[in-house]
Amino acid sequence: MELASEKMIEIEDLWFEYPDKHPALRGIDLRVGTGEKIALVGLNGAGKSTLLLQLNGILRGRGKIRIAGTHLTPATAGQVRALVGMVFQSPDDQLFSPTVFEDVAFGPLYQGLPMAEIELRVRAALKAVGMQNYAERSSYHLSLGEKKRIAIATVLSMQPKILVLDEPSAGLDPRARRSLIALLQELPYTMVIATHDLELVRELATRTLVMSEGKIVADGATTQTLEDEGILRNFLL
Amino acid sequence: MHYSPAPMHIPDGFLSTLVSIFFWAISIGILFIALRRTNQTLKDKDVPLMGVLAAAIFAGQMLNFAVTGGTSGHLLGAALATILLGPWAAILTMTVVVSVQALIFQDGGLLALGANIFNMAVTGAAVSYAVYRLTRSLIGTGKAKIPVAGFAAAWFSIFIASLSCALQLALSGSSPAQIAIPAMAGIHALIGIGEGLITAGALVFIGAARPDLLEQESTAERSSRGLLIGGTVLSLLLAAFSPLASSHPDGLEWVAEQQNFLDAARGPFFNLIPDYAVPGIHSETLATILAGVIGVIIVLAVSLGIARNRRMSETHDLGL
Amino acid sequence: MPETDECQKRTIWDCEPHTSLILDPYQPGNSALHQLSARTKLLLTLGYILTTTTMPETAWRVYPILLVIILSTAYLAGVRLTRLIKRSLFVSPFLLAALPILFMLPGEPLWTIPAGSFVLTVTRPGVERFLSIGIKIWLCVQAAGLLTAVTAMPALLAALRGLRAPKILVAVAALMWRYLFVIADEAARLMRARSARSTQLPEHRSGGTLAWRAKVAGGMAGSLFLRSLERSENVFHAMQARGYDGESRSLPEKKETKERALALGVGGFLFLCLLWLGILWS
Repeated sequence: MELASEKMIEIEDLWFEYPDKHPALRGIDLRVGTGEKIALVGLNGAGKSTLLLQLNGILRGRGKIRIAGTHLTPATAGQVRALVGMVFQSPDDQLFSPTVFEDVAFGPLYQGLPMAEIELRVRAALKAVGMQNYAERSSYHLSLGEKKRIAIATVLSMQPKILVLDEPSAGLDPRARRSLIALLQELPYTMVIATHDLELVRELATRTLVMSEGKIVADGATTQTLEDEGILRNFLL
Repeated sequence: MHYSPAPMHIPDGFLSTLVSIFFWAISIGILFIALRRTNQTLKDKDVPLMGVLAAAIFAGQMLNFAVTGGTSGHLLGAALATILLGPWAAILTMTVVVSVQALIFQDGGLLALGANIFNMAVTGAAVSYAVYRLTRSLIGTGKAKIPVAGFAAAWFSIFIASLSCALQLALSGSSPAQIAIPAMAGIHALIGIGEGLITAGALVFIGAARPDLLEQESTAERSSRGLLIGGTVLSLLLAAFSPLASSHPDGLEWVAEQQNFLDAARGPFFNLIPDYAVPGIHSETLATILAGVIGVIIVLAVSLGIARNRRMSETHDLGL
Repeated sequence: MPETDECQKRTIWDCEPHTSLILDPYQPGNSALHQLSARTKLLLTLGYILTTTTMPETAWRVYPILLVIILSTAYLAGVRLTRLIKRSLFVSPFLLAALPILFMLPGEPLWTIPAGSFVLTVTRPGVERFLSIGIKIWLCVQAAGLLTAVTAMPALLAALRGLRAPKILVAVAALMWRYLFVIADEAARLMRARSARSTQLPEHRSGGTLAWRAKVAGGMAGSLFLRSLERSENVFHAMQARGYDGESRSLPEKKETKERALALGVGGFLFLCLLWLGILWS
């Protein structure tokens, strides 16, 4: 293990194509500092979700990725996955266990933690997202907003260093969306958020990256990026 | 609640305790082999795949379409599962489907679950697999032929499973063989058409959207020659013994013997293993059927054993 | 949160039919039966079913005892009896398969029914066998129904693990349970969309040809399976992201109590007594 670097995420010249030869990422370079909350915007098919799946090695392209100083290789993938908490777009896919408790305990269980520690982590994670009374419930019976919160708890219980969120506000009603944004503002993690919700970006992210056709075409302070008429017209609207 | 019990799920109380336990034993044996087989070939993503597909099969069983006069066609799904997952994983997946139906929705009994697993999971998948393979080798393996082979696999899987179900009822003395077998066979020859049409329709749809899913079975095909033989033999034996059992001229006498069989089976301490394999069986027909069933099992077991050895040497060759 | 209150009702007991295609039969409660471990309840249910199916068919005086056991247990657990009984009648169509037994067993004739050139004779052994099958089915279904009314599926899965059911099968069953309702809702939407488009003009026969209807149903099944395959990929990724390595692991079962041994002992003794009575009285 190398010394902790100041950069939480470092990506150098990352390329990736899907088995059908469709190139999805074309030379991504990216550095994200500790505690930074960055937004990833761009139209569907721009490569946002593909890039997110690279961060913990579920998809593997060519190029270098370092997470909290650890090189991502097949050998370190397990270690890195514990550092990167990935919240998927559809909470129904993320919550695959019969009860909320089992779902939140899944990560710690596969980290090999003892039962007492797992219990503590589950309680803490559910408390952090304000869902402490839901442990014995079945996810199917929850509202979308509640499912999103539980989905976040399932990765918080692994005590990650980075939260990666794919479309966290998609499909939420205005009130659930508000409370989710408030929750994300509170959580003290480095965050990478892929989204179409520019309002959410303005409220949450200090820095915004614009992606198009597998490339990062703009990278800067959110206030500047989202005010840029040219960027908005060419890549987002 | 639209969810209504399908005719093939035998409830508890219908099968005699002895027949129930007998088929539990067979099913457990075959599941044991299936688990060992899939353990060797299981990829990380197979458990979620089987789990979600099991849910889809359950939900798919609720899709129906009007056939005629109030009857409707619907899906059991063994053939589709076999074609998409390969036979061994299909046996496991169908076992879970049938078990959850019994455990949670009382569709099929708990004690009768062994027999239901044997009919719908084991027979369903083995027959589907054998017929699918044989049909493909007869009519060719072109892409357009897949739904045709799927139809045949689905029809036979339903038909043969219903024969197995009828034999279990007859063995339990709950329904006389000379009526149960032709009735079950007749009804399921029709239901099988519905199963076949939906299966074929689903394969057309999947073939158009994701042809890769239907092409990748070639490896699974080679690995299960034992099941191919087992499925074929099971089909042939059940198809051959059923008319024999039902057309026995002395039906009443046969049923009377059934009664003896049941009385013996009902004793407080089952006096197991007298002169015949099962207590109280003197009827020649019954003995023949039993011999047939046992024969099928032995053939199946042997062919599975061969397949396993073969598979082991194959994996060895691949350096796995 | 207000939005969840309504969802609490998503069990078969509280919903009118047609709200969802399938419903979780679990009925939450705090009775002693609810508190009992799922493993104990499963074993007791199996014991009950084993006892019932093994009962000699003419044990007419034992069947009422078996019925009272189920209904009183259900009553004490706060399970609504009308729902339990109503639900148990779902299996009655299967009894059709036993109908021929009425005429096929030799013995004292009770009635004769002329049917064309045949005369069907209903015999006493036939009636006895038929009735006993009907009663046994009915009792067993109620027992299993009671089990699922007082035991949630996650607890049953844990019980199966505890009883050494193969890990893979339990893992598959857990995933199946989780996605059952999600996919059933998808199926319901597909069927609703089909009926919304299946309009009928007065002068035409509706529904097209059989092949066409089958193709539509097949397309629905196909799209259901395809979506499920894709969903399973996403689920797999979500599992991987949280460290899944292909091995099925589960949380350790909660400690078993002394009540379990007691309940199993009493239950087993009761069942043996009933069997003995049944043999004595038949």
